[in-house]
Formats: sequence, C-alpha cells, structure tokens
Amino acid sequence: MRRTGLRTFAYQTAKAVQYGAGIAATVFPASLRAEAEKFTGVAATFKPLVIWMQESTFWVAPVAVILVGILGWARKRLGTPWVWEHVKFLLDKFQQHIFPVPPTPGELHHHRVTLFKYVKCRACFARWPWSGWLVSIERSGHSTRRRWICFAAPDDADRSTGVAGRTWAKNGMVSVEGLPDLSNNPSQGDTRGYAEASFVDPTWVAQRVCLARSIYGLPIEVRHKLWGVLVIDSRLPVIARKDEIPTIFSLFGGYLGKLLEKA
Amino acid sequence: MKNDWIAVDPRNLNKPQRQQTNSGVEIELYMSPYDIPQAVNGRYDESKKRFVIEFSYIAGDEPRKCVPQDEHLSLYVGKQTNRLYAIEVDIDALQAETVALTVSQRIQNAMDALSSQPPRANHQIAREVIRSKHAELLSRLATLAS
Repeated sequence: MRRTGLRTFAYQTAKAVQYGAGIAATVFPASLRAEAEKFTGVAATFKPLVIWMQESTFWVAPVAVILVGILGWARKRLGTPWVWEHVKFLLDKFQQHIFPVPPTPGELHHHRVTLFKYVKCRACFARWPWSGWLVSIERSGHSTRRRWICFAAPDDADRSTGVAGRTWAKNGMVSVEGLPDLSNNPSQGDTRGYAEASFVDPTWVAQRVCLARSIYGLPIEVRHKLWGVLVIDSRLPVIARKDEIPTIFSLFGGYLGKLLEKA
Repeated sequence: MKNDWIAVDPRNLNKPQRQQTNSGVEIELYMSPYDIPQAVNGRYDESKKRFVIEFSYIAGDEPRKCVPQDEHLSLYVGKQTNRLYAIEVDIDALQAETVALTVSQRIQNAMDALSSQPPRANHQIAREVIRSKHAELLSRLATLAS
C-alpha cells in the first residue's frame, strides 16, 4: 500500500520547495534591474543581498526553473494527498456497505477492499518487470497495509494471475466463492484447488498465508479507460451481500473514477 | 425540474456465466458495471425536433460520435468506449399515426446492426433495456404523436 504519511510529507515539502524555486526564478533575474550602488537609508541594508543576487542570477535562475519542472513532476507522481484521503474514505465506506458490522461475523481486517493500479513496469527484482502488473495501492481499514501485493496483467491475457489479473483481462466482474480453508495444515489437494480457482500458481499459494475464501473483482475506469481493479476479499466462504455489489458500486464507482483523475 | 429518467436495475441485466473448477469452487463472470446503463430516458428535443432515447452510465458522459443508421435515425456512441449513449429519431418526418410502431421497428433494426460491433455486451444490454422499458419509453412518444 502507499505510505500515506511519508508521501504526504514528501508532497508538502516538494510543494514548498517548488514555490520557493518559482519565486527565485522570478526575483533573481528581476534584481539585475536594480542599481544597488544608489541604495540609501534603509534600502542600503539590502545592498549586499541585491549584489549577491545579481552575481548569482546566472546559475540560480536556470536551476530554479529546472527545479520547478522536476518538483511539479514529482508532485504529480506522489499524488495529491487529499485525493488519496478521499479514496481511502470511499474504500472504507464501500467495505462497510458490503460487510455491515452487526450481521457479518469476523474482524474488520477479515473483509477487505483493495485498489490495484495497472502499471506497465514495476520496480523490483522479478522476471519480466515490464510485462504489465496490477499493484496494490490502497486498502480499506487500518491494518494489513504494509505488504505490497501484485498480480501479473500482461498483454497475453491468458497469463494474467489472481482474481485481480483475471478481472483486468476480462474487463468484467469476477466472483470466486467457497475457496478451500487453508488456515490449518491444508492438504496438497486443497492448495492446488485454491490455486486453480484463484488463478495463481500452487507454489505461490504454498508460500503465502492465503486466508481469503471468497474474492470479488471489479474493473476500475478512469477517463473511460481501464485504470485498475478493485478486489473485495473475505475470510467467509460467501459474500453475503454479493448481489448488492453492482448497485453499491454504481454509487461509489463514478466518484472513485473522478477522484482518481486527480490522483 | 422534472426527472424523467427511468432507473435500470443492474441485477436484472447482468446475469453471470458460471464455471466450476475441478475442486468444486464456483466462479462467476459478469460484464463490466461500466457497460450497464444506470437509467434510460425518452424525451422530445425541441431544438432538434427529434425524439431522443438516452442512456446514463456510472462513469458519466464522454465525447460522442454520431453513427447515422438512415435519414430518420441516428445513434450516438462514445468516442472512447463505443458505448451507446443516445438514439435520435426524426419522428416529425414519419407518419404520426404509425409513429410508435415505426420507431420501435427502426430502433430494433438499428440495435441489431450495432450489437455486432464492440463493446457487444454494452450494445446487447442497451437493446435489452429498450426492450424491457419499451412500453414506458414509447408511451411518451405516443403522447407526442397524439
């Protein structure tokens, strides 16, 4: 998941430095018009500063202009903090509507909603990092947020992995329910059955703690293009309000797409 | 302002394809929720002098392109997605007494032609919406004709 606090700090710092660089890019060249030698009275106090600015303009102005551009790009990459706060809020609300607390058994983190973004290339030491991936970017709740999860979403759609990858490949909704319970010494047959139904490799399942027993994937569009997928997973074998998901999504999906346009 | 949009229940339109794995796990595949219209509207556009059937979707509106079917009927599809957004019928040019029947037939013919093009799921769903809301939409047309 995104490191929200770190990213917000980096975004605000980049914003402050960018504004500073913007002011420097304007003020330094303007100082060349000042006749510092003629400064008298209180203005004479600023004489050394103005002279220094005039002498430094030749390198400060171009550096400041480049900095404004680089920091603008960096801020866009980091994402506007308020947008991601709203995305998180929407995922929480979506989770609460699908798994309302009184009738749904289990803890909050047993029923999650995770947003995956499609990236052409991911920065990691993996085979084919440039082949197209769905990377987890935001999740409902306050726990189980540290690990990054990614599924293959290559151009060859048959090789897509996970319910997320299959949702991407199909550009439709995918529901998998009644997955085997792997929480207590699962048999090889259960592991293989889990892997087959969740579109992953059995070794991938064996290496991880796979506790979700029902998974539901929805495509996410931004500016009318496929942007990523939303995955709902639960430790219960069925999602009780599964039939309500399209209706609930019709309320949230449009706003989520509009928010992600700004991200 | 009067709201004439007729709500569409996605559960009635988006029926799953079911598959079962060797281990007995059931997998259901549905169409994209973005391809399912949320509502449909039929109204007479005074400025164009045409009867317009419109569809609204989760992702909102997008730039459209006109796909003329014949001199009296045009379809408007999304430039990006090719989803059906509107059907415009020149009812003034058609005979008033047979207008409902003529329009219904022309729309069905146009939808049949469109449903072979991508996104097929959206076009088939739009045809299904018109079929299911046929009476409500054409009653507005009949009111105009009378």
